[in-house]
Amino acid sequence: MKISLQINASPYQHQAADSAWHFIQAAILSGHEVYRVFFYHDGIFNALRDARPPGDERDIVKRWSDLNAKHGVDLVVCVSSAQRRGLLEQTVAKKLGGYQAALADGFRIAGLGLLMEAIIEADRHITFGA
Amino acid sequence: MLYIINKNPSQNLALKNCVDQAIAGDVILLIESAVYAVINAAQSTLLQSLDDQVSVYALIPDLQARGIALDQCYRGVNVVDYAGFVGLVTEHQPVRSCF
Repeated sequence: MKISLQINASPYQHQAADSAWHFIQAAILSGHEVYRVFFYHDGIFNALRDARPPGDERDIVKRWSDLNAKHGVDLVVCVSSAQRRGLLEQTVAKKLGGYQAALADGFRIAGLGLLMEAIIEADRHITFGA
Repeated sequence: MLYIINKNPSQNLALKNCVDQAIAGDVILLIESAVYAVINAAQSTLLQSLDDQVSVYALIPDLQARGIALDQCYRGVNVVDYAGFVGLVTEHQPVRSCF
């Protein structure tokens, strides 16, 4: 079964990113396809490249990047939510000048069209939020 | 319908709203701080008012993270791990997260 997820909450402040990650591990182990994870609202902070948690803590951003590298899960960050919060991808950062690209490996920026597509294409869409 | 609730019912009305709306065959899954609802005390009266045909599940890792032992749970509550969570999602359509 194709499952897509939406994460609306910031990591470390809320449990949403952890719940979603554990759910995805179980879904993959059960043989399901995780079609897409869409990061919306404060959920975009899951893609913050320069996040550096203490070494003895789980690294939530790296965990997502690893999920993309290992299982090819499509990690999509909402462009409007990201730009409002100063999380810019390379092209926009360059265009504006004076900004650093902030998107971690394995993520891509896109609009709500891809959220809609995920809801239509997947058999189930699960939202994790604050 | 599968309802997913993640808020402590003493601080948020999401569970109460689901209990009011749920009909026979629906399932309510409690995750994160919503698992406080299963403690066999005043708050579980919310669950006691449910139709017998509505099942309630709580996520084991979230119970454990909050120090809630299985024998503290209201007797009508079933428990699942993340694999069980995935199973509930695949068995029910639609799935609605309530905040």
